[in-house]
Amino acid sequence: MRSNFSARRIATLGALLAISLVLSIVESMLGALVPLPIPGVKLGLANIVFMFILVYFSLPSALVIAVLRTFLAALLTGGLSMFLFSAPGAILSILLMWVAMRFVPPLSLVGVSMACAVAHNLAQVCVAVLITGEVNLFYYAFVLIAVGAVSGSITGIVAGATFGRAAGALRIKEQAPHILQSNQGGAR
Amino acid sequence: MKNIVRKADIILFILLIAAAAAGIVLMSGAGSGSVAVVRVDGVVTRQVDLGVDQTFRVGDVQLQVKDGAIAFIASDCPNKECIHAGWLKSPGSSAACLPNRVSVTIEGTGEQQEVDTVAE
Repeated sequence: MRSNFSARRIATLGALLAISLVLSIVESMLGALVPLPIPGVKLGLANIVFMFILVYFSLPSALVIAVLRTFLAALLTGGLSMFLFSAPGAILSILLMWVAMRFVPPLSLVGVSMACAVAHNLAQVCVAVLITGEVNLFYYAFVLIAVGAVSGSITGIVAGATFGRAAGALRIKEQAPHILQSNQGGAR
Repeated sequence: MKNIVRKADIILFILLIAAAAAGIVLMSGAGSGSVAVVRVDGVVTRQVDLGVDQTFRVGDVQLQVKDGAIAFIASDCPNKECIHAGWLKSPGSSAACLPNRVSVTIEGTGEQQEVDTVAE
């Protein structure tokens, strides 16, 4: 991981991009399997990949992979309008994850992904209010706070349980996984 | 990586759930957020919060708010069409007492407008 453009780094990030695409397909299959009464509820499994990139690589890498992912997902499923809608959300949630990791050290990956999910859901409600002009949608925000807390903690626990192994499998030498380091330092 | 969940995570989780629960309770306590607009001769004379049960008069008719719904309960008009319209609850529904020129329309959430009665 010395050089920014080493073949290994590009290959690894490409594999992670593919994994994030697969995760969003898995997620849509789960959504079809278990229909929820609340619209717009997603687990946000792809966020696991972006958290991984933030921990083991860098913020710019995560942003690039996220934009590429939304672009490819739009090609696969929706269209350009879907890309325009989801790219800002993806960028926003990655910036939030980065801020939470950086500036709120007591949080582990679980807390980071929870905060990110809740913030993303709230941003979604704000956009919906802006588009429809229906202020009463804010009522829905409280439901989405709870949903974000639950879905964020699920993805966060998956992330916490898999990151060490995934890094080993991808032969990533831990660059600066401060969020994992402080965990080991603080909890053990 | 034995401790995936830290204390701060649990605190954040509890805070978020508490905030969500408090918000939902507060919002539902304030009724459905719907407002009944009472018009006389097409002019808005009164806006009634459906979250507060009450009975009031507008001219020669009497209206009552109860359980988030509103209805004409008394009127001196001959046909009592307004009273027969029953309880209005969902946004967009309305009833009128034409002889007295009083009408009531529910406005508000607008989120889920549904047809509940069709006038014949």
